[in-house]
Amino acid sequence: MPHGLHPAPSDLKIDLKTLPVLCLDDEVLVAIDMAEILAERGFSDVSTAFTLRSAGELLDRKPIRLAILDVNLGHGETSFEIARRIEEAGGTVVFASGYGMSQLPEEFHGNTILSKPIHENALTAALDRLG
Amino acid sequence: MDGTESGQAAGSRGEGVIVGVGASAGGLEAFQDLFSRLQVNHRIAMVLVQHLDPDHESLLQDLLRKRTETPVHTIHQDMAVEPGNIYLIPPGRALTIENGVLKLASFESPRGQRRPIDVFFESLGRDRGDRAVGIVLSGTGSDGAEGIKALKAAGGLVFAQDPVQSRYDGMPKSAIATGAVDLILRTEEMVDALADFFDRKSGLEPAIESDREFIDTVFKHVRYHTGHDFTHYKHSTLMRRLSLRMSVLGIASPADYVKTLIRDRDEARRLIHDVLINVTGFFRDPEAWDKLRTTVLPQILKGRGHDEEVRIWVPGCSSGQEAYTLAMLLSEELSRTSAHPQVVIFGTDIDEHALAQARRGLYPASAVDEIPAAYLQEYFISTPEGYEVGKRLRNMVRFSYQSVIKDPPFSKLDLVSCRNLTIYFEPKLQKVAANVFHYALNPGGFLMLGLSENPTGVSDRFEDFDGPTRIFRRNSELSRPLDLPLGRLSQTQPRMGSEMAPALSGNGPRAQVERAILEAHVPPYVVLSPSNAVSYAAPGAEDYLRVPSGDQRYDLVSLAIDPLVAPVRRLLAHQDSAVQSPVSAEVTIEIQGAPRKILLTAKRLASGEKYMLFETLGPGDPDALMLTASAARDDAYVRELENELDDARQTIRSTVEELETSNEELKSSNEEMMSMNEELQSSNEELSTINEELQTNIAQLNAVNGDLAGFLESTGLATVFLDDALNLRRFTPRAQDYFRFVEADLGRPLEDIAALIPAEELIESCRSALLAGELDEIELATLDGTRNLIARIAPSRQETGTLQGVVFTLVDVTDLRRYASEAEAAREEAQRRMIEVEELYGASPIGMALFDLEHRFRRVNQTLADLDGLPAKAHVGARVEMLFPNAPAEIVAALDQVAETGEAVIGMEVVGSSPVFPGEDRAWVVDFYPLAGDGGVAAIGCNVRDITEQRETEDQLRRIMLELQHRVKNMLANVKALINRAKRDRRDPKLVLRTLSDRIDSMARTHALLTDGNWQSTRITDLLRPELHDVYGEEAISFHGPELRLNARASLAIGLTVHELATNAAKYGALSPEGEHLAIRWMRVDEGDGDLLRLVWTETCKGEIVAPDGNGFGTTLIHAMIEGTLEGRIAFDWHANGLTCTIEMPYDNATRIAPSPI
Repeated sequence: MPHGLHPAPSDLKIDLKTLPVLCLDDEVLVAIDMAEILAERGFSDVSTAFTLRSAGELLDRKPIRLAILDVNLGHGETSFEIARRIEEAGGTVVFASGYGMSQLPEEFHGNTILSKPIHENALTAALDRLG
Repeated sequence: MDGTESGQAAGSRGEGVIVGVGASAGGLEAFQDLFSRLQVNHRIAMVLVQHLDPDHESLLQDLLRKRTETPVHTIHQDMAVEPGNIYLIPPGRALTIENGVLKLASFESPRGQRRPIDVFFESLGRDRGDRAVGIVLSGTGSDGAEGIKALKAAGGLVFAQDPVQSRYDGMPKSAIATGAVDLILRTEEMVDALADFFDRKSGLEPAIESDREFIDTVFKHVRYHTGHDFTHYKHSTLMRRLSLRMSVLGIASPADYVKTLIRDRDEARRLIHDVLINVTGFFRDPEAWDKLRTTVLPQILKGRGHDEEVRIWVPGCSSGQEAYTLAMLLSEELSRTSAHPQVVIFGTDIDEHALAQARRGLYPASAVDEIPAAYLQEYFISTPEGYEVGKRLRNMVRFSYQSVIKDPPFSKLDLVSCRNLTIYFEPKLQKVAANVFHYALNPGGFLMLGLSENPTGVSDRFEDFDGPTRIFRRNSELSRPLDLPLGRLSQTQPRMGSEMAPALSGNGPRAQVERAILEAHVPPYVVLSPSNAVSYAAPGAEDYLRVPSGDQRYDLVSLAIDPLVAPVRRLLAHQDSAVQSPVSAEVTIEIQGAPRKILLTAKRLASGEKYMLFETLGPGDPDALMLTASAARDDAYVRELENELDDARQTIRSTVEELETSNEELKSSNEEMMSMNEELQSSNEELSTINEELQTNIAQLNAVNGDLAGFLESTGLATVFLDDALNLRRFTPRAQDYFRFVEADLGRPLEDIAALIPAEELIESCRSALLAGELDEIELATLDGTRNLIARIAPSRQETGTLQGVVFTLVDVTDLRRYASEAEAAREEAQRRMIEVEELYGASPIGMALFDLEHRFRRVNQTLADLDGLPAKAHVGARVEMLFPNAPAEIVAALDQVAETGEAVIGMEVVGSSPVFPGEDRAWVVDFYPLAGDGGVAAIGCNVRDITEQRETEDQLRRIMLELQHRVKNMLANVKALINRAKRDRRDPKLVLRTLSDRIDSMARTHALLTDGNWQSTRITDLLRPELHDVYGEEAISFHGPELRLNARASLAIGLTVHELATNAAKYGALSPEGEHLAIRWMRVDEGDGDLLRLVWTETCKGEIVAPDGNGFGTTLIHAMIEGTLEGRIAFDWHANGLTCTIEMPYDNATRIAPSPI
C-alpha cells in the first residue's frame, strides 16, 4: 500500500481506480492494449509509455501509484530504474516479462510478475490481489 | 652233467645249438669276422660274452649290425634264445642261461676278478649239454678256461681261436692249456666247422651207437696204446665223446676212425683225455668240505703223535684242486692242535696231462675264486700267470700216475676222497672201485664221494657217516683180495713171437718189409711200458728172459735171466732219470751153455715207453763169464754191488751237477723273469694310461656322437651323409621324405635307392663337391613338382683334413617361397596403406599426431603443424612437454592415462594460446586413442580440432535464438493486442476483421523486410511500395525523396503509420474513388530544431473530403508510434481538396542503427 494513503476501507476501491496508472512497454500495441484493458476495468487515469525517456518524463509530471512495466525495453534497456523511482514514491510495480523472475534483481523478487504475453485474466487477478 | 642227454633229437644245421662266444681284448675284430660269415637263415643262436666296461654303453650292437644279416640283440632279463639270432651281453652284468632263457645278474666279485665267460660257459654246458658250443676268442687273461672245461665235461664242443691269429693270445692259450679245446681254428673257419660238426654228428650218433663191434675195436686200440680199458665205462658218455672226436676230425665212417686210431697214437690219448676230462675245483661243493673239516678231520687227527702218519688218497685227482683243498683244510686243522702228525696226500690220475698240471700247482685266477681269501693268501703265491701253490701244501701232496682199477692201491689210508669218478663207471667197475677203497682204508677210515654218486658196492662195505655229503666209513671187515688184474692182465700180458706185432699191424708191403728187416737185422729187443713192464718181446729176446716162480710181476728186472738182472736194473735206473740218450752196458753171460758177450742198450722214448736191445757182440771170454756168472757167487755179487754203487754215485754226482746247473739256470732265468716282470709292469702301466686316454676319447666321442645324433633328430632337417664312394652312411628321419631309405640301405650307393627327387642331379653335385672339396648349393623340385627344395652340399672332412665323404641337407623352400611372396604382397599392401595414411594425414582437416609412450611425437600432419605454428618436421622426436612448455598439463596426463589403461580419451577440451593467433585464447578438442602393439599400448594417436570459431558461432546462435524468441513473443504480443483491439471494436464484425487482417499483413510485411535486412534496416521505398503501389497502383501515388534506410524501430512505426494513413485515404481520401493523387515526399531538414527527417503525406481529391474522426484507434496508433517511440511529431492539416500530413522526427532516431544484439 502506498505511503500517505489512508482511505476508509469502504471507499478503497474507488480510490484505487482513480489513481494514476502507467503501462510501459516498448511495443506500442501491447502498451495501448494493456491501457485499454485497465480502462475497461474501471481505471480512470491510465497512461502509456513506450520508451524509458517518455516514462521518466511522465513520472516527472505525475505521481504514478501503480505501474505495469515491461522488463525488457529493447536495445538492452530495462525498466528497473523506473520501477525504483515509482516504489520510492510509494507506488506499486507489477512486472511483465517473457523470461520469468530470473531476469529480476533480488530487490524485486517480492513483486508480482506477469508472464508475457499477458493474459487478461492474469492481469485482472493481479489487480484484484492488489485491491 | 644233467644236461648231457638233451638236444639229441635236434636236426641238422645247428638246430637247438647255442654257441657261447667269449672274447675280450682284441676280440672285436675276431667276432666281427666270425659273425660276418654266418649264412643267411642259419639256425645257430650265438651269445657273445665280453668283458665290457660297466661305465660305458656298448656300441657293439650297432657295430655288428653293419657286419651281419643276423639280427643282433642286446640281452635283457629273461630273454629267450631263438635260433638264428645273435645276443650281446650288456655291460656290467653277469650272464647265465637256464632252459634256454638268458638271465642277468649283478656280479658278486669286484671288478678285475669277474669271469663272465666262465660263468656263462658253465651254465651253458649245464643247460645244453652236447648242444652247447664254447668259442674262446682273443683276450688277455684266462677267463673262459674253466668254463670250457665244464662245457666240455657236459659234452659240449669247444673251439679256441688260433693263438697265432689272436691279437691277444692269453685267453685262447689258457683254454688250449686246459686240454678241453676240440679244435683250434682261425675265425674264418669256425662257422663252417660248426655246421659240418653238427651235420656229421647228427648222422653219426645212431650209426655208432649200434655198432658194438666198432666200439670194441676202439676200446681194444685205446687199451693197446694207452693201457686204459674203457670197457666198463658208461657207454652213453663214451659214445658222445667218440662221436664228438669223429666229428671234430671230420671222419664219417667208423672204419676210418679205427684207421686214425691205429695210425695216430695221439688220437687214443686225445680220446681218453676227452673221456677223462673232469670238472674239478677248489672247494667244489663247499658244504661237503665243511662237513669234512668239522667232523671228519678232527676224528682223523685225534690222538696222532709226531711220529705218526696221516695218509689220504685222492684217486682221479685230475689237475689237483681237490688234493690241495684237502691239504689246506688239514693244514688249518693241524694249526689248531698241538700234535703234528705227518700228513701225506696222494693224488693219482691216469691223465698225465692233468697230473702235470697238478704237479705244477699253478692255477689261473679263474680257478681260485672259490678259495677263501685268507687261505689264498696263506697258501698261494700270486704270480703274473695266476696263483701258485705254496711250499706248505706241496710238502703234503704227492701226485702220481695210478689207475684205480688196474694198479695196486695205496694202503693204510685214513681218508679216500674220490669225487665224481665212479659215475663214469659201469656197476661192475664201480664195485671194483669200492673194493679197492675198502682194501686201501684202515678200518674206520673215511670215504668221501661226489654229492650225486652212489656207486654199487659201497653200501656193502661202508657205513653211512653223513648221508647228504656222501661221507662213509669203512666197516671193520677184512678186505677181500683185490681182483686187480682185470685191466693189467689183458693189457700187459706179454705177447711173444712174431705173430704179436701190433705196432706193425697191417699187411701193407712196406710193413712186411719193415718186419722182415727187424727180424733179420735187428738184435732181439723188448719194449717196456713206462713202468718197465714188458709189453713186447721181439723174436730172439726169449734167450734173455725167463718166467720165475711165484707171484708174477712183469717188469723186465723180474723177467730177466739172473745174470742180466743187475745190468738191466742199472740201465733202467739210468733211463728213469729222464736222460733221453741211449745208455749201454757190456756184459758176458752164459747163454745156452756158451759164454756170450752182449751189449745191452736201453732207451727211453718220448712217450715214456722204453726199449732194451740185446746185441750179441761175440762169444764171451769164459773168464769174464766166470766173473759174472759162474765165479764165486759172492765175489760177483760184491763186484756187482760195487759197480752199482759206482753207478749210483756217478748218477748222484751227475744228477747233483745237473741240478746245480739247473739251479743256476733257474736263478738266472728267475732274474730275467724279475726284470721282465718289471718291464711288463711298466708296460702295463703305460697301457693302462693309454687305455684311460682312449676311454676318455671314446667318452668324448660318445658325447659328441650323442650330441650329433640328438642334433640330427631334433633339427628336423633332411640330412644325408655319404661316404667318399657316395654310399649311404647315415641319414636323418626327415630324409625319408625324399628317399625311400630303410636301415638296410646303409652302405648302399645312393643312386641305387629310390628317391622322390631327381637324384641324378643331386648325386652329380655331390660328386663334384667331393672332387672340388667345396660347398655347393642347388635347387631342385620334387618329381611330382609340388615342392621346391634347396640342397646344400658340403664335403665332410676328418680332423686330418682329408675328405671322407659328403653331406647334403635338403631344405624345403616351398613354404619359404610362398611366405616370401606373401610377405612381399603384405609389404605392398602395407605400403599402400601407409600412403593412404599419409594422404589422410596430409589431407585431414583435423590435426593428427602419433606419440610414443615417452610423449615424443612420431608423426605429425600439416594441419596440426598449422594449429600450433611449428613446422611439421620440428615435432618428430621431441617430447610434447619440451616442445610446448605451456601446454596444459592435462595433455600429458591424458597421454599417460591412455598408455596405462589402453582406453581412449575422446573429446577432451583444451583451452590455450597458439602463436598462430597471438594473444588469443583458442579452444581445441583433442582425442587420444591407443594403438595396440604386442600385449599393450605401442603408441598413442591424437586428433586435434580448433573449435574456437565453432564456439563463437554457437554463442551467436544462442543469442540469435534468444532474440528470435523475444521477437516472436513481441510479435505475438502485438498480434494479441491488435486482436484485443478488434474485440473492442463495435463496428461491423466483417470490417473489424478486415481491418485486423490488413494491420497484421502490414506488420508482417514490415517484419519480412526487416528480416531481409537482417533486422537492421529497410529502404524507405521498400517499405512504402508494398503498402501503396502494390495495393493501389502506381498512377495515383508518387514518391519523392532521397533513398535512405530506416532503422527497425522507425521501419515498424512508419510502416504502421503509412498503413493507417493509406487505410484512411482509401476510405475517405486520395485513394478513394473520389481521390485524385497521393504524393509522398521525405527529406532531411535542419531548421534550427536539430537534424530531422520530415515526411510529408499529401492527398488531393476531386471533390471535397470530410475529415474523419480524429479519435479513432488508427490515429491513436499513429501518434503512439511517431511520438511515443520515435519522439517525433505528426500534424494533420485537412483542407478542402485534401489532406497534408507532416511527420517529423529526429533524423538519428529514424536512421541510426543500433548495434544488433546478435
